[in-house]
Amino acid sequence: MSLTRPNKTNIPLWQDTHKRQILAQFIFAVLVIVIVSLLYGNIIDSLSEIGMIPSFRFLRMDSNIDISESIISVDNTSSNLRLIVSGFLNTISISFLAIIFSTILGLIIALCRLSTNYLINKLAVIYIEIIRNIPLLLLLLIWYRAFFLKLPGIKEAIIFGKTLQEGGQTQLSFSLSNRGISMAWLRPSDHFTPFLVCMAIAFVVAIALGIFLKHRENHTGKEQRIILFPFLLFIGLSLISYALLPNAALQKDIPVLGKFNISGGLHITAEWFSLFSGLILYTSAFIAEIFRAGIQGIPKGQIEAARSLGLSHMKTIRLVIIPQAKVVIIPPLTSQYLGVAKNTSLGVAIGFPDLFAITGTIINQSGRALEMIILVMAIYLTLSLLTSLIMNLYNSRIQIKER
Amino acid sequence: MKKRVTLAFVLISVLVLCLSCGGKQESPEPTTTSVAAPAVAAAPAPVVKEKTSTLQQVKDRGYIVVGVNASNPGFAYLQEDGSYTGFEIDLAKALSVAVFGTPDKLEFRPLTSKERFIALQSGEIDVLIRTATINSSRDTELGLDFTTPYFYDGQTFVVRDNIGINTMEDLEGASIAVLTGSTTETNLAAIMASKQIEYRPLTFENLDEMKSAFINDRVDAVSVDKSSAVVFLAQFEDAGDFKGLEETISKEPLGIAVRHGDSAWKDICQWTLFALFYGDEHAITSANVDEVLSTTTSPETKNVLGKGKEIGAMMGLSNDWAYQIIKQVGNYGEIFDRNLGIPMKVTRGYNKPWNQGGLFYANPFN
Repeated sequence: MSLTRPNKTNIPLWQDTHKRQILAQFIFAVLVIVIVSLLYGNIIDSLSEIGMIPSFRFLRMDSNIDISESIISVDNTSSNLRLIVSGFLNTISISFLAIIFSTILGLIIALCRLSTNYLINKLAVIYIEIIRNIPLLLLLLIWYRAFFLKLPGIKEAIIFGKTLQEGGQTQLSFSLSNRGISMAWLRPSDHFTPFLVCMAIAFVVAIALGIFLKHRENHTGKEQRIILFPFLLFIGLSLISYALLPNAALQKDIPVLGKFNISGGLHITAEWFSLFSGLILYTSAFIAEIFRAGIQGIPKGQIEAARSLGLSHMKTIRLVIIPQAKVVIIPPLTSQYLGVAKNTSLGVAIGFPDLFAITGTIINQSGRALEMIILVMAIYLTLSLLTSLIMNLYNSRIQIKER
Repeated sequence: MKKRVTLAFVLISVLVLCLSCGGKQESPEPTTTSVAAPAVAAAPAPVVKEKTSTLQQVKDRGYIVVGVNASNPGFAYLQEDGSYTGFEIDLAKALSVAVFGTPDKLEFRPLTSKERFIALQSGEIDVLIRTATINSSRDTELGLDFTTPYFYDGQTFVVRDNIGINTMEDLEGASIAVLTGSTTETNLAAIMASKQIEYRPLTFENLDEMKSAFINDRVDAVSVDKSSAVVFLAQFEDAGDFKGLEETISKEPLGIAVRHGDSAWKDICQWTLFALFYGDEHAITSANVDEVLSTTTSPETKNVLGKGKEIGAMMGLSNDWAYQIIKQVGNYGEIFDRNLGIPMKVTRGYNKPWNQGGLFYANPFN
């Protein structure tokens, strides 16, 4: 702004682009604020009229309801806030797992889709086209009602590893019924902490080995197995420490058949699994197409050049294709990941208590619709922005640096 | 630099507006800008709500918007031809007769138990007749008003017949399905906690999903109101191996809900119910109402049927409103038998007039 404008005072207001822009911005801001404050005032007025002044005090009150599955322990005396947290954890955990598995499945399908084998290729095409064109809600309902509910009941469950205990209890290593999947599981015992410390030490040692190998590779120019050897070292050290520690760090938890249900072990409910697998099926079809676009977006010359340099097939993929494909893949992949977190809210249709389902229940039991909707919007927004931030950071790191 | 100036302007305008809106609706500030002022004047028109009574709104509109269930056979059920039928639908018809003189001035909004109170609070419906249990928190916290109960219900369990469940204690460890957003959900949690019975809840948004989970043996029991249990069992009569438990774990008085603070409209709903009860109490039916009207010597009956005091006019209705209700829809007993008693085999239980050993007591029409 060091340039001084000639005849500054003579320009009429409506011809000065600079001032006109400021004025336009100002008017727009005023309009937005007026509309928002009017809406807000209107809501407060009409709520006060029927005696419901907005407040968040209800969050501390007892929820009075039980929910079917939760990572933290909740019962009907837990506060509404604790219930929301429990729903949030359900949403987070299922979306996190669904994102990981749908990425893996998506990659496999994309590779099938790119395969020159006629059968594999066509199967992948059919999968993608069918799944992508069915609404997710429908997919979930079909999956839950037509598949999971039609599995045998608990009395006729598909069972592996049945043993009769002395006390008349029946232990089952694995069972599948329309209540879900129960399987034997390892749980941390009371002596878990020393093992955890050993694992941490093993991890540090493995990282050190990795750094050393990388260093050597840079120095000698000879290729080293930077990932494989440290990984094996970590596993090996962990196993040795587990065997050497005086008390077992993990204990077996085998499910027991009760009168109605199976208790103990790892229990995955039919609702959780329906939502989880439905999300994976649906999302992987989209992710497969994103991967395909990324891979096919690389000019053929690149691959031919890699080949003529003498790179092997795997090396071509690892060193030439993936680094370039990543740049194209990450932004649309981010949108898919955001979609997964939001799509978990469809679990309400099949009785899975995610954040949205629990919010709905609390709204109904407490009548605090406005407050809860604001709260749940804020939570979803934070979650999405966070996912977005992480992916954007990664994206800016892998972008091709143009100089 | 340019950006900073713009930002400063925006911030200042925010401040100015916050100050002007913070005070209780002072005159629109002319100090902002002359361009913004018309916008302020034009915008409020659609959002500011007219303060008219529900009765006036209903009369102006020409029909009553009623929130109902669409999938509760016997009470309210959406039929294949798109019309509704059931006990609660007939109550709505009585209300329509009271206000308009004919039973067809109604628009039904099918609502889930989760949506129902919000729909009423927000003014989307005029009245809610949807198996809503009256309790203190709904009456106060939710900003609602209830009439006296039109149905006395209680919660119980429906279980499979052949697995030896006879009392609630037998349900230890069982999976139990319940509808979300209902009092059954809170009652179940409370009673199981107080009796220290471990169970696995599974909540569903609508009755069909819940039924399908129960029939497929995904759950061992469903917890529903007794009336629903009877209907549930009647529907699956041929399946045969279901039964309702004898125990009643809660009181569920079902009432008509209206918005808090409109007592004129609530009066109409309330006295429509009383007119139905009165007919039941004094055996005035749609068949004999004309005969009763011409022969009765009871001053109260005359009041009810519009020949004595002008009760209808005082509520903003026609004077023969109650006569028309009984004539066109029938009394409480007739409505009950038509929808629940005969097709669903629901027994009257407490849902009888006080002079026949029930709980219904029409306040005097005087």
